[in-house]
Amino acid sequence: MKTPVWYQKLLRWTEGDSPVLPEPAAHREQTREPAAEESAYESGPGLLSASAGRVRNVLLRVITIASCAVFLLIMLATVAYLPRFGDADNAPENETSRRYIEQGMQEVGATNLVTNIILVYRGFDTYGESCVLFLGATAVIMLLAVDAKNTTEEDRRVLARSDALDRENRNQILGHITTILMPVILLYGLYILCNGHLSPGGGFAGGSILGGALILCENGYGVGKVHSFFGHRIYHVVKVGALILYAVLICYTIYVGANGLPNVIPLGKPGSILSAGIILPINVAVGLEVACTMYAFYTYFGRGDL
Amino acid sequence: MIREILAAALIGLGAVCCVLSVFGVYKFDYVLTRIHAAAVIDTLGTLLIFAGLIVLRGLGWAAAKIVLILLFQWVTGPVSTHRISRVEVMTNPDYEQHCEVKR
Repeated sequence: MKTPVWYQKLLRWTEGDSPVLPEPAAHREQTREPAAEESAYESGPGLLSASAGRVRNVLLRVITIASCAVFLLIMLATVAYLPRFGDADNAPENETSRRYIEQGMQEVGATNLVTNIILVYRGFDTYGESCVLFLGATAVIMLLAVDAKNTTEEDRRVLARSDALDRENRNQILGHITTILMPVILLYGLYILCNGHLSPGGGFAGGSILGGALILCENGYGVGKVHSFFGHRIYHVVKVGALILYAVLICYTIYVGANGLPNVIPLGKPGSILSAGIILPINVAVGLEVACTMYAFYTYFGRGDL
Repeated sequence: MIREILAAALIGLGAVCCVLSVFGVYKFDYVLTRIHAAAVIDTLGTLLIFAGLIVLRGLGWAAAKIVLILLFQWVTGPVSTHRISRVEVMTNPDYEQHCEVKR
């Protein structure tokens, strides 16, 4: 039975090929080999016969669909417990938000209420977000790091050739512009980072600007420039140290607050840079975390190394 | 009143530039010609819109900040355009089939 054209197109599209361009003959011959490899892979590594491999594929699909369905049911059951929208029993004025607005500045010390909420009142949640960043970068490093075991001679030659091409074609314009712009961008990033408790901004915004500055430095001054001052050791120290700093500060705050103990970190005068207790160091920690993560994503997806 | 009309005219011209440039991006089909069209936003579009804003707000700190932003845009926009075209010329050996390149 001949499969219809639209179905073939759909298949090609789901396989990742362009559905628009007609496939030239030479291309088709090239694709035959990976297809054979793929079927060999699907039927298992040697020991399994073709039918056993098919059974395994079906089993994998069933498990995937079943786990998705279970997860979906759990989510829907949770949604069923939420209060109805516009219900008469709902609190008309949320007590928590009123307290945030009225006493946030006295209790936490930042003039930016949003920062009060996300970094202190709900600091544990934001700590989870920082952990997500940390884990994301770690997973990318695990999957994409290039070392002697997972590269071939060909890969290394391609990388060396692209580096050489980059060095030969290093153009002066981007280098000079980077020299002019880098201080401005770094200053802006640090400003946003350190003023997170006074104005909109904070760790996530400032950190992404700093990460962008690192990426610009890598592009403007050539491959290896950032590595000369931001090697693996410094990268790991900064990344883990920032997360530990955040963890220690937020644990201390939660412990002190839960037990009604006096907080030794001074709140300072609201509105000045050195105020708001733990918010400034937490902002710096989050910013370093975000900058490290952005730069790691860029460089590991591109070159597979810092 | 005259100030508002002048500002509206400048901002409108800038918006027209941006729209034309978006049309250009969809009209052309090759990287070098497309960035040629897209670069209009970076330079002429921002110039006209920021000039309109300066006319609207008058000379002062706001105008100084707008001029700084305009300088930043003028420095970064053409450089990124230049980088994209360089990469295309470096990596695509057949670029002269698509458009004429003067050396």
